[in-house]
Amino acid sequence: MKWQVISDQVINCCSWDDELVFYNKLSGDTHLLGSAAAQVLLELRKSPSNALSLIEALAPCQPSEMVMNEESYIYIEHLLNELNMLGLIEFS
Amino acid sequence: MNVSALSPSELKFRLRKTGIFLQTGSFITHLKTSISSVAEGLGLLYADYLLVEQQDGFADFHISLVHPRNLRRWFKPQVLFLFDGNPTFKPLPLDQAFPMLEWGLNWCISNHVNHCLIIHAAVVEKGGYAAILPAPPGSGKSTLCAALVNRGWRLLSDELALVRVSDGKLIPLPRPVSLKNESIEIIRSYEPNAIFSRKVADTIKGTVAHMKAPADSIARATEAVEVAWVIFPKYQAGAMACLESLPQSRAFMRVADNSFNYSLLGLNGFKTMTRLIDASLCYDFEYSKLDDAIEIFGSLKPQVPRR
Repeated sequence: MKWQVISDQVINCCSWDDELVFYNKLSGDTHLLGSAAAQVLLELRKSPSNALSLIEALAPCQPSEMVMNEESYIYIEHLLNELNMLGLIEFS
Repeated sequence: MNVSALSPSELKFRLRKTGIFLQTGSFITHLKTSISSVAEGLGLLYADYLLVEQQDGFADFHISLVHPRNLRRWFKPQVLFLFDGNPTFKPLPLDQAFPMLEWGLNWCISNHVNHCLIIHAAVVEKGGYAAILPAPPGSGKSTLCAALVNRGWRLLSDELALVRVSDGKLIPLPRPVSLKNESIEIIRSYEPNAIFSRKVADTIKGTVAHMKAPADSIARATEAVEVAWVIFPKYQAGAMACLESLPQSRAFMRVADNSFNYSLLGLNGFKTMTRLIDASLCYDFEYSKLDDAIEIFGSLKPQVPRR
């Protein structure tokens, strides 16, 4: 099961340092995304992906102990759910 | 013609009969009242403002301050603020008529001006660069603003930062600086030449007084300016003055929280805020001594433009 950024939402964001401020055009809300959530979102902007592929893609940015273990899978799944609840991503 | 061209009695007469068309920043307010304390406050603090002759009666805001026609007028007189002839707030004690005018003028702008992103913030400028000072009440924003404009900074506003949506520039709205409680005497001793309205006690904000805006700031009220800094001031008794860098993303969210119409403007609000934050160096600023604050503000450098 892959996730993608909702197409209307793609352009309404700006980033400073490693954080992202995202305007949700559908709800009118503005969200501040921390580094990890921002990276997930930016990866999904490149192409639809699932949790496992995202862990691989983000591995170079993570501490070594975080790479490919169950904890990181749960963490990415949690971020995906959060982004989904904010109305920023959907199933592709 | 400026307000100062009218004698006190002429000003009172015009306010009572036809009202005056007062230019404050880029807005024209048609103001009518028969309340003496309002006329006196205007004569004192608005002497340098332009009176506009509007043959067609156009004004951005039509307001009047009146005595409500109730029984209380005989033993506890009150004042009522009318916008387009309609009461906007509950009446206040008559003694609070001039502060009510100031609060009402702020309300007119924060509720009706939507070609600008409006932030609850003071704005000052020096050398072509503006600092926005957003802060909740009690943070010492107006006190710091009053000190800065008495030490060479231009006043754009002590209460409402107006960021033009079309180009991101800050529009001046130089009006009297609202001070409350201890801040009144602090600024009075800091700048003995500053002109103040009389103190009004027991308002919702405590004791308040208004300081006249510098004449140069009023004369330059049409000069829009670029933002260079967003600084969140906080007065902390005994604290060393300290300017601490703030990530722009965090500043974005905090400025949005201090905005009156960010949500109303939707995507335009987001874009305007993005532009504003992108152009700004953002800081938290803690201070206790005004001289230290002035020194730190004097050493601010604008952002080096990105290539």
